[in-house]
Amino acid sequence: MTHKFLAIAVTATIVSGCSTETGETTETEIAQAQGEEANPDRNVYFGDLHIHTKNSFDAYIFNVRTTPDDAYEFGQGGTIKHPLGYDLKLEGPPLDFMAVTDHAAYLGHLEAMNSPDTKLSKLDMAKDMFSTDPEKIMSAFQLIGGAVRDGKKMDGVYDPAIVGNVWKQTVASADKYNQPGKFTTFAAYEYTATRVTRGKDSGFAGGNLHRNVIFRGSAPDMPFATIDSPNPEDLWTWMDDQREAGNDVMSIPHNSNVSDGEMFKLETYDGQPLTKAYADKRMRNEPLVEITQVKGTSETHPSLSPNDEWADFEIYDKLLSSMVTSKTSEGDYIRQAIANGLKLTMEIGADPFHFGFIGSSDTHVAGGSFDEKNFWSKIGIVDGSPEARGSIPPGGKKSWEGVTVDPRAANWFSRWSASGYAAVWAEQNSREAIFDAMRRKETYATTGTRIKLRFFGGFGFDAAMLDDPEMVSKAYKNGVPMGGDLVGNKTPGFIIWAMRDAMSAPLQRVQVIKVWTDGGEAKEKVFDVACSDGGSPDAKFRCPDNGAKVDLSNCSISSDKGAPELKTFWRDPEHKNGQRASYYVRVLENPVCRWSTWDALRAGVSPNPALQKTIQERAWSSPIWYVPTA
Amino acid sequence: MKIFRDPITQFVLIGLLLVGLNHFWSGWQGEQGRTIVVSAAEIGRLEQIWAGTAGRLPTGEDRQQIIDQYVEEEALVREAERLGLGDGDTIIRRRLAQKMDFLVSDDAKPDDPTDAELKRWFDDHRERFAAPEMRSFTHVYFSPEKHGSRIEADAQTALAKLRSGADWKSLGDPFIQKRSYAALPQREVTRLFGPEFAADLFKLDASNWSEPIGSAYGLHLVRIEAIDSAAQAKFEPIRAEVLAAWQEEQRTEAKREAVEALIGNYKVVVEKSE
Repeated sequence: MTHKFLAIAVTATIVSGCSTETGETTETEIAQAQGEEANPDRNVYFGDLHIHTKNSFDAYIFNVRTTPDDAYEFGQGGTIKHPLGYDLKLEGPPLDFMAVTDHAAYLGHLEAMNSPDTKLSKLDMAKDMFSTDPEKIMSAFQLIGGAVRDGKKMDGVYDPAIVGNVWKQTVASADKYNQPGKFTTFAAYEYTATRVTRGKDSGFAGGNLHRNVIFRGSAPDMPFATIDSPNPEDLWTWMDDQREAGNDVMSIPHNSNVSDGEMFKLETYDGQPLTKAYADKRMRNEPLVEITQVKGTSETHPSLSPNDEWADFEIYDKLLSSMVTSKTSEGDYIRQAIANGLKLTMEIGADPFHFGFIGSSDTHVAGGSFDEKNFWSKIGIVDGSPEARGSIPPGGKKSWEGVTVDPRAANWFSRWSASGYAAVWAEQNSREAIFDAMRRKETYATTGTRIKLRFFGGFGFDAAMLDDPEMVSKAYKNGVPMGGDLVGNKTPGFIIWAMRDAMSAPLQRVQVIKVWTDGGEAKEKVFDVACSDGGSPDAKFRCPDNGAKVDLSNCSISSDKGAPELKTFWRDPEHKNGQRASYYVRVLENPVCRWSTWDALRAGVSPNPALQKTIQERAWSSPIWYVPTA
Repeated sequence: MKIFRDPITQFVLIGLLLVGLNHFWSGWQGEQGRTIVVSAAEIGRLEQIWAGTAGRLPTGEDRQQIIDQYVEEEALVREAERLGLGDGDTIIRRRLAQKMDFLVSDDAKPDDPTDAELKRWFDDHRERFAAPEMRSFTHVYFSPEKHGSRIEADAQTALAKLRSGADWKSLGDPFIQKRSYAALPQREVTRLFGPEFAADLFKLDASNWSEPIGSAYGLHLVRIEAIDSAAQAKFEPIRAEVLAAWQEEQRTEAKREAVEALIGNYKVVVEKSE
């Protein structure tokens, strides 16, 4: 490790512990009072449900000093500081909803260690953590990381009073910024369980079982952290109890791509077979999964989906703070989990992977980096400059020839992504409306673009509906939106409608990804269903190449290729009555420069040859399941 | 006595005198340096910080601990200073530079301007305080995917119908976002529809349906429903805001000058690296 881990000594900030109580008026009422009429056809809202601030043990050591308040200011269009001193600001309009999700385990402890006059600051660990010796810093940091992972209460270090106090401030900050009808915030935190899968090291490495825990309204006095149990099933039990006590809540798993096969494993935490009770409990608590974020995209892997030409997208597969590659063959990727869910439905009568999709950032600098043109990555002083993240050659060199890239940059940072958003279709912008939309999975994920995407399934749908001005309300009335179960015995029809982001690239194609099982074997197929530039899918269900190009000398894109909107009615040409299936939509934009190419362009060097130069930004809808009766 | 005129003796005597003076001086200084005073104000400050982290007020025992810790730290710092441990330490250098920066900024605090001065400055910077113009509009959308090369003609046909009183809801193609927007500034219209559409929209008059205008999505017929013009800021109601902005500008300028003056006291030699 390098001098970059040096933490600047800061004078202690005095944070008041007072909070305001939220009233009992429903937010729907408040939103209406403030002029936002509930729209029965629903509006799309964009948000970020995965944000870390200085209160997270790791963010603090990355020199992050921004607070939950700063995160909400950023989301509303304000400017905040990166730990390296530059300004962070959203490229797009303000976000509609947000949740700050700091690691609950050892919440606020690093700041306490770095404040003079606290008990924690006298510990040897604290002295090492804020010393000038990189090795001491690293080993102290690993101690904390290991304790977070293993759920260990370190004697004389772990102090529930600090967690409770900082959690109270987090909830108060969310309450302060929540404005029904305009801007929604949730009390939330991250449950940071990591399973040791390859033999124990001294630090944080292992299979990622992280989840964000999001409260619909009121929140309890203490979060349930790995300190309480590293087993996510215990978290769900606690969440069930919270719901009983009036604190409605859901958890959203993320980075299954680096779970080493643990996230969607086909057995319980204790190695028992999955049961209906397990599936019901999981679905009660985890209706959604985060499919994309800064640490890569978890939709599928090229080795799992060899016939999907777009599967090799922002793949990141190194276990947390480790150079070990995650086990990709089983349990890491969402498409495979959906197929396993269908199989389990036959076997145990319930589906533990019946989830919808969102994206979020997982930023550790209080502001998400969504824009390829202006990327600041994730972990503060460690990857906050192009050189540190491997997008330009080190030491001011002008060429990549003979250059050795720092292994952390090569294996981790350069593979990270400017991604993503959670999109939600809700009647209005309030905690209740957005949370309820998330519970019914009427959500989709994007890689940081604001594509608008509608997706409905129904038995009575036809192509004539596409031009009907009442199309949306009729689709709601006679079918199900994304995230729904289409139950019946006829042939399902789908209405898909995507519109580009005016400030991103035009659309290239819309696809339906069908997942099903046949004789116990998982199957998947990608159908192009709408093509830009007047094309139509061929016999293999592929659009012709629309010829969209990126000029790598200045990152400009073809101005005459692609579609502003793509809208289609689609029936599964391979539909089989009685065969259970899941369908989700993937929308692809024309290619644009990847962030690493933008970094190189600005520095006047060629892009890192080890990295993809362009990417196709995209959106994924939550699936619609065809559930045959009888 | 002759011996005192001897240069060597003089040299030795003056030397002895200096040694003696130094001894008394450092002894006196040492006395001062070896008293650690924990003032009531300092205790108050430490207690506040403590409460901020712990979430409760310190008890008597905690207070004693706070004081002990303060004394320990103070003693350690003084010993470290005595040994010169701070020299060349990057963190300390940075912190010192930061402190000096604060000092310079503090010195740069401007006096209050007269009313006339402030008013004049406001007149020169009026646009800074104006609320941006907001527009409310309804639009009828034509999709290029659907109309292809007929798009302009189809839009014109619809426009003729609109101008003769047809209901806008019955015309054009469905639009995935809203068909009516309330009170948006140009920046937000740009983000929603692209820069060309936003520029055109903000040139339209609030009258009848517009000629077709293009966006990132296709063509639109637009009717401006309301214009909340850029509110010309008036001086009196926002006097405090203007004063704050004036002070900020003065401070930045004064600070820049002060730092430049400081640097001016040095000769800067930049060596070429090989």
